[in-house]
Amino acid sequence: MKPINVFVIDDDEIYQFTIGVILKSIPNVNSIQMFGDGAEALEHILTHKNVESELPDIVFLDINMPVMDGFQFMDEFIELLPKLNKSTKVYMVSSSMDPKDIKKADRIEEISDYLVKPLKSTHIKEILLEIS
Amino acid sequence: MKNWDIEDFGPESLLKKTIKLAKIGIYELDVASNEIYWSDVTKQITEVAEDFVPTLENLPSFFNEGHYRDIARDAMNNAITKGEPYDLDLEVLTAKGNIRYVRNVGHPKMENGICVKIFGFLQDITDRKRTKLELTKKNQQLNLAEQLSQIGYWEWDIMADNIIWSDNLYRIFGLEAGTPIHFERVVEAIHPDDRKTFRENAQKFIDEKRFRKFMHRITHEDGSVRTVELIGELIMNQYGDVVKMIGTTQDITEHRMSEIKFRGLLDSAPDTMVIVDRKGIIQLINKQAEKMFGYKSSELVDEHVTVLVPNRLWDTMEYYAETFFKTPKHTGLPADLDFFVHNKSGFQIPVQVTLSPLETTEGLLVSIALRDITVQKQAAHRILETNKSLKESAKRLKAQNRQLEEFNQITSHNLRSPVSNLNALLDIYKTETDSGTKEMIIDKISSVTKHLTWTLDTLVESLLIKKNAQQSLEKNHFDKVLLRTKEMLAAEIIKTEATITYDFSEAPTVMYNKVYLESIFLNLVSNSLKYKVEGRPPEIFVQSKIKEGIVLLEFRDNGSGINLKKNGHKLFGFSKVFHRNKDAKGVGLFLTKAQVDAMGGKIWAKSEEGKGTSFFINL
Repeated sequence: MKPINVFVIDDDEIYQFTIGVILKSIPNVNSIQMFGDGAEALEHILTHKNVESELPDIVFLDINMPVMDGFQFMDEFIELLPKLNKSTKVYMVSSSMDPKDIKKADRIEEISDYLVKPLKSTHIKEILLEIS
Repeated sequence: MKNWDIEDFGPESLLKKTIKLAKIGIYELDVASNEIYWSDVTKQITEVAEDFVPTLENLPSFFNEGHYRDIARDAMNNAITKGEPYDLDLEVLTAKGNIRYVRNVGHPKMENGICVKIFGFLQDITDRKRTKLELTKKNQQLNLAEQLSQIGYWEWDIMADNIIWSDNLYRIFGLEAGTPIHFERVVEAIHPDDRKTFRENAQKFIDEKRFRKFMHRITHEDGSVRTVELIGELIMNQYGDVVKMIGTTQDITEHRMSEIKFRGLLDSAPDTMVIVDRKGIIQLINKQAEKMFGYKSSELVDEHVTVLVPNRLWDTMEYYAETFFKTPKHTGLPADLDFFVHNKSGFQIPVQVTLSPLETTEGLLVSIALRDITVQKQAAHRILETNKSLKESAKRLKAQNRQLEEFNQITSHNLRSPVSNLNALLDIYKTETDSGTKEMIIDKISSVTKHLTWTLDTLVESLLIKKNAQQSLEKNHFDKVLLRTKEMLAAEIIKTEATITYDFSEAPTVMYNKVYLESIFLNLVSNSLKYKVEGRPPEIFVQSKIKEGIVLLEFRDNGSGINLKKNGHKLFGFSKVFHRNKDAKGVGLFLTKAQVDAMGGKIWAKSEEGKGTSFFINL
């Protein structure tokens, strides 16, 4: 089983805690990185764009965040993607069931799926198994 | 040669000359011998040769068989047998076959009661007869023409009050030809209702020295009524006084009847009808036109149609008139033309115009139909108004919709996310065995609950803002409100070394909900303090202005600013923060906007990242 790097981009500390607990319980998770908003995550990716081990295999991306929200992050990330020597799956995660957000996420090819909070641990495990 | 008595008729030379000059022919019949003498002139008249010898036998050949031959013979017989003289106008057939008219006068010469001779004169009256015949014929034709056109001729010698009528005029008046006529006799024949006008007209024409066509009715002795029309002219003497009036009177009863019928038709039309000639002179209007324009028919007829149209539309009218006359056909002017007419008192009426050609004996006329579209215009106006208010309510609904959507988003995100967090925490709690971790989870559950409570409180507050907006308007002095704000934020101001300046000179006060105004000041000033640039003391400037009667507030700072291109749409959203600032909760602007909206105002911002932000509020 391939070790997986997971990025969680979400300003909600409680959510960070709960998803952290779930992710830690999954054996093939190599590393978990938490970011409070899109800009922080982007900064990290930019600084480590040549270090494959620091780049995410999977991103759980929130929509509503200060400074740079999920969609704004995607705009930048899509441009960056070809320069990264890694394929990354992005899951949009939000407590919003607003159809506008869902449609918008649907239209972005690089987003694998739209997940609604709260996330079930079984669901997260399935997703991670798929990747490895 | 026989010695003729007539040769001795007096001083020969004088008589002969006279008779010759007068071209009078002489003849003599000797009854006893049946011999006849013809003078040279007689021979000339009958166109016989000089050596012609007239006899009783060849005399009849000078008359066409029938009437003239008979009366000539009878007259001569009577003269011979009874001694009666004769004076006849006869048609004569000359020897050359021409017809001549002659006056034939014969005197029998009696001796002892017996006619012995007849002396006679012949006068060639062909020319006179011809003229007379011609005249008679002309007269007959004229009479016929008068009768056919039902026109009578009249001549009024005003001074002598003598009136001459043509035969047909007598006929028109139903009077016997030759009845003596004078002014009062005419008046007597006129319909009682028209007598006054008739007298007035006569006087007016004399005073003004101008005859104007007019109509009146006449009542026949049998009670029947005719309508006649008079055309005439005035004859003046060398001093310019009117001495005579001549003219014609035409019986236009039938014409009038058809006009009355036409009028009836016109009057029954629902629209205003104005009939004008090619030059635009009004010929006829209907009752509806009198009603619409407030003029009587007599005031408009013979006037130019422009009296009914405002000056500014004359060009338009002319354009359509020209177009119409190029190809006269039923033409409706464009419905959106915005054409107006004005009535006697100058009031303008919007109308829909239709032009139709009207062929008459007097040439092409235009019948102009006007429909008053005031009601339609008003209806259209009402529709527009309704449309406008519909648009406004649609706008309001849209705004409400947006608020609802906003609210929807708030519940979907800001309420769902703590709830989902609680669920997730509880899930973990159930499976967690470590008591230390469990303790930590409880802590987190309590903080989520606190946050949830706060969110609900804020939402309730924002709902109350909308509900309470119109309550308690009072006069607020901006300087006092700012002072209170500064007092409340005193600690922050000192800590950040902020300077706050203001200019409320243009609009020192405003009528507003006091709590909201204070809240707006507090939120915006505290925002400026919160989002300062590190190491740069905040400078805040507050100003009030009046723009188009509305008080405009501006809060300007030199803080970190916001990228409005990216975040503009979220600026006033619930729980939206744009900085990694620990104190940012994202409700200040949300509540501020709710308050401004609730008061019917507007809030917007300008900002440049790193330089500062300006908030503008239409109170």
